[in-house]
Amino acid sequence: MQTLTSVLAIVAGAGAVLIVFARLLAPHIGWVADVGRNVVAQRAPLTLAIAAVATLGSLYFSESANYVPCRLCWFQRIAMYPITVVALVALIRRDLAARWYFLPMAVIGAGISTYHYLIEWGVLADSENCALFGPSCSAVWYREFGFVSMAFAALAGFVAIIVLNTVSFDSVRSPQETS
Amino acid sequence: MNTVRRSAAIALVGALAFVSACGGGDDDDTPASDGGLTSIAPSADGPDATISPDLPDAFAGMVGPVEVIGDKLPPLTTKDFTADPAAGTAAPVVIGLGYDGETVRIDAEAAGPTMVVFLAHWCAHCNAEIPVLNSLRDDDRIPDDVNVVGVSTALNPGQPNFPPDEWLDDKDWTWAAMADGVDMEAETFIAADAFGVTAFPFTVLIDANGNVAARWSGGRPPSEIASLVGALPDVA
Repeated sequence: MQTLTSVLAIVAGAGAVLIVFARLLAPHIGWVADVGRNVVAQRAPLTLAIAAVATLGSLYFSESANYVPCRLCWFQRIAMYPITVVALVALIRRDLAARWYFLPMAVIGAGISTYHYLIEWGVLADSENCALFGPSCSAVWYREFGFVSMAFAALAGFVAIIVLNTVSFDSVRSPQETS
Repeated sequence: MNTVRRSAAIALVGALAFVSACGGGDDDDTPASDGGLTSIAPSADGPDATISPDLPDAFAGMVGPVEVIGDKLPPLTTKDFTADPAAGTAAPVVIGLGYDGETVRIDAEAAGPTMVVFLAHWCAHCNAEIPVLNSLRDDDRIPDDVNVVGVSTALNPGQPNFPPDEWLDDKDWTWAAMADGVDMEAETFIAADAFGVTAFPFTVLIDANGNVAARWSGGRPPSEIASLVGALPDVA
């Protein structure tokens, strides 16, 4: 399960990076613009898929694998879980404006995930001990492939949601149109 | 202090409720009695204490009877050794059992300088600290006349590395290990409460006179631990 969720997180993160690159290259390469346009057109189901996988994954790790969530994990859950619900309703109602409701949550969640990830690597300081009955935020339950922790997976999910819902190819003209 | 105790109490109640809700036993009113430390007959040098009959079955064999003699230490609230109000005061004598039923005593006045390490099986920092201590042991950087006692506390059957006896074996903990007890009425872990534990891992150095030399929570570099242990009076 760790490997599966880690691979999915990498796919989400890499996908977000590719969309950004595609947007930069779109005015110069026609097929990149087409691909980017098609991918972003599926932003509603993709957002739901990312948020749902993140939600179910975190529930699996806490409820089945017994990885006790730390304080920052809970804050990230607070940001991610509602996105699943809002994205589902938005998909059913075909409400394209719904992104303006969950984008702030994704941005806040990405900030917390970044902070958490830096704590995990010791770049930022956190407690050096476990609280009386709970784990500290610097405790890492796993680090798949040497870098994918749960904080990284959450960060990848939040960033993918942000990119999918902010990057637009609507204004991109194909090279032929430009010339 | 009240906040710490309240947090501990709430968490302990939560852990016990979790165990009960998750099938800690077919009958929650049935006393824990399925072997382990609960079935060991009291010995002359063992703790003058009993395990609460109200303890959920999931804890059976993992929680011991613990006797505390003397005053409890206040909760540790500072990182500064010299500012710790417990420094220089008499540490309580604590008597309990190891997981094989042997008596484990924390009594530096009788046994000499002692290092007590409180460990929680689910705590990642404890899992990281044990190899550090093991490396000091393997490099002979902990003097022979220093008694090292681990206390397995804050048990939670719903969290990783339970049961703690197997966990300590897996972690190659070769020093004495006491199974902390639970005071169901006060909703605290007895030995941890007696030493003012506020986080894990939690270490207490006690000199040969039975007085607290230092307390700290969290991990420390091996060289610093070796230095602190070596600075204990009467350590060769």
